[in-house]
Amino acid sequence: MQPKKKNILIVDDSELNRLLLSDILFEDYNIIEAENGMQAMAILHEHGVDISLMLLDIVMPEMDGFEVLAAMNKNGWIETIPVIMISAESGGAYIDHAYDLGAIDYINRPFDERTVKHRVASNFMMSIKQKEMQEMLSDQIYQKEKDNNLMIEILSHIVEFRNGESGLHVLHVRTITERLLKELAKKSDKYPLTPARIKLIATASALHDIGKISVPSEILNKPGRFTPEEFEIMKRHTVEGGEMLKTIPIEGENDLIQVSYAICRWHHERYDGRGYPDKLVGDEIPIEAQVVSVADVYDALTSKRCYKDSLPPEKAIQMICNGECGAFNPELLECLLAISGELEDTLKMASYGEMTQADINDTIQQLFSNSEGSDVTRRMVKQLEHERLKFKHLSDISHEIMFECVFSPEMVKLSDWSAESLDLPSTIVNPRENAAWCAVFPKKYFEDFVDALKNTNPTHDVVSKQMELDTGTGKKWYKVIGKALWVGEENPELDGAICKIIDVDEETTTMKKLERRAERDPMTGLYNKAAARKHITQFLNAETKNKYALMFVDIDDFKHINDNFGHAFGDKVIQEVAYRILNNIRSSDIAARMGGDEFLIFLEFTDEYADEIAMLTERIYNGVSGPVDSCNVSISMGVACVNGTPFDYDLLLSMADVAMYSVKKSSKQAYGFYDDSMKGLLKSATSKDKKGDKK
Amino acid sequence: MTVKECYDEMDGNYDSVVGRLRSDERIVRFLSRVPTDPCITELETSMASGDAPTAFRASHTLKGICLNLSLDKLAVSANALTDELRGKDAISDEAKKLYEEVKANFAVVAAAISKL
Repeated sequence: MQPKKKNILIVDDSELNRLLLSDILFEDYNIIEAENGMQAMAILHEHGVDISLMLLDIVMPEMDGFEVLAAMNKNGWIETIPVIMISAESGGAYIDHAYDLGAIDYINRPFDERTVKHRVASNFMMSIKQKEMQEMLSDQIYQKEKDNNLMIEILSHIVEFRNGESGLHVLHVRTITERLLKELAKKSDKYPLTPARIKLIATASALHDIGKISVPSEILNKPGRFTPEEFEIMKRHTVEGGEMLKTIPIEGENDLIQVSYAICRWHHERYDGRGYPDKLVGDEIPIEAQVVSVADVYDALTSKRCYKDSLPPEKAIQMICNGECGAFNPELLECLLAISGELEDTLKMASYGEMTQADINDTIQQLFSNSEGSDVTRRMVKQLEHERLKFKHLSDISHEIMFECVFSPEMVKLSDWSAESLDLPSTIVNPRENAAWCAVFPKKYFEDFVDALKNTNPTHDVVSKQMELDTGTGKKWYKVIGKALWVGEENPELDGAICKIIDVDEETTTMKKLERRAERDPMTGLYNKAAARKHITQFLNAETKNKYALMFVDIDDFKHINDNFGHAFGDKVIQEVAYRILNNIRSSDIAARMGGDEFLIFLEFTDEYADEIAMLTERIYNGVSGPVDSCNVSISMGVACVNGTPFDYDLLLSMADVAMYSVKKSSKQAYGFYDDSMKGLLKSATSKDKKGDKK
Repeated sequence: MTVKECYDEMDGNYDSVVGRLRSDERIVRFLSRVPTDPCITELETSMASGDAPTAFRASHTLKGICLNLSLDKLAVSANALTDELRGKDAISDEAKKLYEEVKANFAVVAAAISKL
C-alpha cells in the first residue's frame, strides 16, 4: 500500500512561483496552495495539523508572511507545523525576524529544484522524526508502565507457587518466548513482530497458566498420573484463563489483554490440530500462543520437578524436534535450534532483578538506536522523577546525612531528611560562605573535601575523610564519604558529587582513647618514653624561632629509698613526683616518665624577662622536691635550652643528660644548665655511663 | 526557436535556469505564463494610479518570477524598481523612469517567448 502523501501548504502571491514550487514537489507531496496570508490562515483552520510543512513567502498582499507567522505563534501551530520561508528578500534582518517568529529554514529565490526538494525533505524528516520520537517514547515507556509488569509477575507467581513450582518457570518461559520471537522476526516477516510487539508477547507470556487458579489444588498438586476426569479438569485451565482475561472490565481494546487471552487459551493447542481446547490447526493458532507452548514445553523438560529430574538441554530439544512432546510449527523449531546454545546460558543467568534491569536497558537501547539526541521528553522526565523519588525515599529512611555537591556554581543540595534534621534549607548556594553550613561543616574542612573530590578521576572517584563536625549535638567525629560523579564515556567530565556523613564518633573516641592509653606510662599517667620522643620531636622539627627547654629529672638516691622503705613506697614516691611535676607545669608543657626514676619535662619559654628559664627551673625544682610521708625526697635536674628550631631531639636529650650528670657529680640536690664547656662530654655521656655512676 | 536561443534573445541565463529547473519542458511551461502573469497588469495600473505600495508588491513579485526563471535583464530592472518603491507612499520620477525600463525589457521578453 502506498503511504498517504503528506500535505504541503505553499503560500505565495505569485501563481507562477506557486506553480514552480508545486511542480518541483508534487511527485512526493500533496500540494495545497494559498495566494496570501489570509487564505493560508483559512486553510490552517480547516486542515490544522494535517498540514505537514509550509512554504511561506514574505511579501504578500492582505497578510504578509510575518503576520502569518505571528498568528501561527498565537494559535500554537508553529509548534507542530514546520515553516520554511521563501522570498527574493535576502536581507539578514528579514531572515532573522522570520527565525525569531519560529520559521525553521529559509530558501532564497531563485529556486533550485534540488535545493527545494532537499530542504523540504530534510525539514520534513526532522519534524516527522520528532513526532515519531514522541510516539515511540509514549508507546514504549508509557506502555511499559501501563502494562505494569510487576502486577503481572505477582499474578503469575501466585499461580506458580500454588502449583508448587519455583517461580522461575514464568521467568524462563518469558525469556525463551522473547528469544524465540526475536529469532523468528529475523528469519521471516510472515508475522508482524515489531520490537514492541515482542516485548508485549513476552510480558503476556507470564500469564499463560493463570487459569490454573481455578483448578482444585488436590488435582493441581497430585503427584501421580491424572485420571481421565482429572485431566479434563486440568485442561480447563486454558479456557478458564482466557475467560478471566475476557471479563476484565477495561475500556476499549487492550493489546496486552488480547495477546494474553490468545496465549492462555491456546498454549496447549498442537500444530497438527490434536491439542486442546479448540483443536486449532497450524497457523490458526496465533503465533504468540505457538511460541509460548514451545517455551513452556522446553522449560518443563529442562527443569527439575517433584515428579521428574531435569533433562539436559540438547536432549530436550531433540525430544521436542522429534515430536515426542507435541506438534509444533517447524519454523519455530528451527528458531529453537538456532538459539539453543545461547538459551542455556541466558536461562542460567536469569533472575527477576536482572530481568527488570534488562528490560530497562533494552528500552533505553531501543530509544537510542532509533534516534540521535532527543529532547528530554515528558515521559523521560517522569522516569527521572521516579528515580528521584526512589532516592529520596532511601535517603529518608536511612537517617544519614546525605547531600549532593554541585561544583559550578558551587552549591550543596541536602536530602530532605538531612535538611530537616540539620535545620538548613535543602539547597545552599555558595556553601563556603554560608554561616549555617559552615557551623556544621567548618569551611576549612569543606574546602579540603571539595578539593579532594575535584582531584579524583573516573577510576578513583571516592573520597573518604574523618573529621569533627557539628550536626547539632556538639562536635563529634564523622566520616564523610563522597563519590565524584564523572559523566561521559569518552571525555568524562566532573559533574558533581554525592556525599554521605556517617557518625563514627563512638568508634573514633574509642580509638583515640586507646591511642592515648598506648602513649601513657601506666604507673604515673605521664607520657612514656616513645610518646615523649614523638611529641617533642613535633615541636623540634618545625622551623621556628621558639625557645624550648628540656629538663632531665632524676630522683636522688632512689635505690636507697627502695631499699629502706620497700618497693611499694618506691612506687608511691614515683607517683608523687609525677603528680608534683604535673602540678608545676603548664598544660601545654610535656611531661614524661623515661623509666625507673627518670622524668623529662619539655616546655617553651620566651625570655621576656631576664633568667626566665632559671626561675622556671627553680620553681619546678622547689615544687617537686620535698618529703613524701616521712621520707625526704629530692631531685636533680639537668636543663638544656634550644634557641630556634629545628633541633635534634637526641642531641637535646643528651645535652640535658650531660647537664644533670654534672649536677649529680658536683653536689647532688640541685639543678644545672648545659653550657658549651660540657660539649666534650656529650659523646661519652651515654645513659649507661650515667646510671653506672649514679648508682 | 530553441529555449536556449530564446534566452539569448531576452538576455536571460539559460544555463542557470536549466541547472535549477532541470528540463526545457518545465522551463517553457513556466515561461509561457510570464507574458500574462497578473503582476504585469497590476504593476501597470498601480503605476498609473500612483498606488506605490501595490506597485512595490507587483514589481517585487515580478522580480521573484524573473529570478526563478533567470530572466536576468528584466530581473535587474525589476529589482531596481522594487528598491526604489520600497517603503514609499508616492511614486517618484525615478520610479517612473525605472518602470519604463522594466516595460521595455518586459516587451523584449514577451516577444521572445511568443516565438517559442
